[in-house]
Amino acid sequence: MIAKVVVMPKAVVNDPQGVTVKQGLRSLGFDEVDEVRVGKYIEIRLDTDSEAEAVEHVEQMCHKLLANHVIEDFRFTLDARGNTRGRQASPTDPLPQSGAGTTVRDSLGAGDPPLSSDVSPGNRAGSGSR
Amino acid sequence: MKFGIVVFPGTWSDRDCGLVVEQLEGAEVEYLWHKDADLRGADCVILPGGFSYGDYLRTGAIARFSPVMESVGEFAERGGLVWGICNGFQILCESGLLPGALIRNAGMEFRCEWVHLVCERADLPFTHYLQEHQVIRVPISHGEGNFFADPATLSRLEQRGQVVFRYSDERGYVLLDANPNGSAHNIAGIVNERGNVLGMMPHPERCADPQLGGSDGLLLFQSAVAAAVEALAS
Repeated sequence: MIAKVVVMPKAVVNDPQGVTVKQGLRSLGFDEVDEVRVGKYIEIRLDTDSEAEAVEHVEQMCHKLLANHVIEDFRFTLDARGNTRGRQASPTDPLPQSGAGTTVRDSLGAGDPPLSSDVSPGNRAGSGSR
Repeated sequence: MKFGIVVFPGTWSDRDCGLVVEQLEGAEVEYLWHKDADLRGADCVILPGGFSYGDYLRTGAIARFSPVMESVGEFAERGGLVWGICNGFQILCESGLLPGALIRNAGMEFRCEWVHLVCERADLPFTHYLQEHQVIRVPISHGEGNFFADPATLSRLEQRGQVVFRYSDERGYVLLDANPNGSAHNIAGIVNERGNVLGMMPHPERCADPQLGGSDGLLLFQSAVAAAVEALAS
């Protein structure tokens, strides 16, 4: 099983990195760029078959280490397909929002907007391995 | 009295702190390897500057799990003097010994320069050689020194007088222009409620010798020595 954790700066926290990236994108001519926020993507391969246990443990991992609750929020998905031997997980994999083999959790409860990759037409969540 | 200076992989100001301590009368230095939970009889523990564990994940995030940090937490709980400088301040926030967090400097730049600090608490073990509202000149050297706390925490810090140092101009005026990193309320250093755990971004150990451009930092070390000696005598 693979846990895919996204850690983002809280909305109330200034994100100078995001502002700088936004300026970069705008200077490249992408005038429509309104806001950029930069966070972290962390992948954890888990040696377990229990989804309930994985959810509980990954949530603890986020609280205890992966995210600092003062400045960051987190959300994660569990991908059961990660059990497939030899599969190379990649940060460019989409973060499935729901559906077979995945569990979605976050530090905010419901209402956190999905990443664009979750809903992009090129979503290849079902590809399994490549 | 004895200073215990914690050394993590990636710490870089441990020897700078040690050199200052060696010149102080009545003070000796003991370096504490992060894997060793024994504080070896230290009267004041310094968490020095640097990039512990390469700043991986977040500054100070991994260091707080070192065996030594559990002892430092218990030591602080008993009222022992704990002094976090730069990365040490970040570690204290990550470990929950101080509130808030230190995030990326506004402007994204690593700032390495001299700043002025106005001291707002001259009654602490670390600052009693200073006068209240005294302005000192101290270097900073950090990329993540932007102090952040939620509004409730900030107002609690202010109400309880836990802000020890603020970035100011040379006259002691706390101005936006004097803020090098975007810190809330120009905060450069805070203390816990009990007054025995101090965290500060600027580097007093780098200005404890006139030949290095200033010696204001020496006052903090001398304060800590006197406070520890007094505590030992009582």
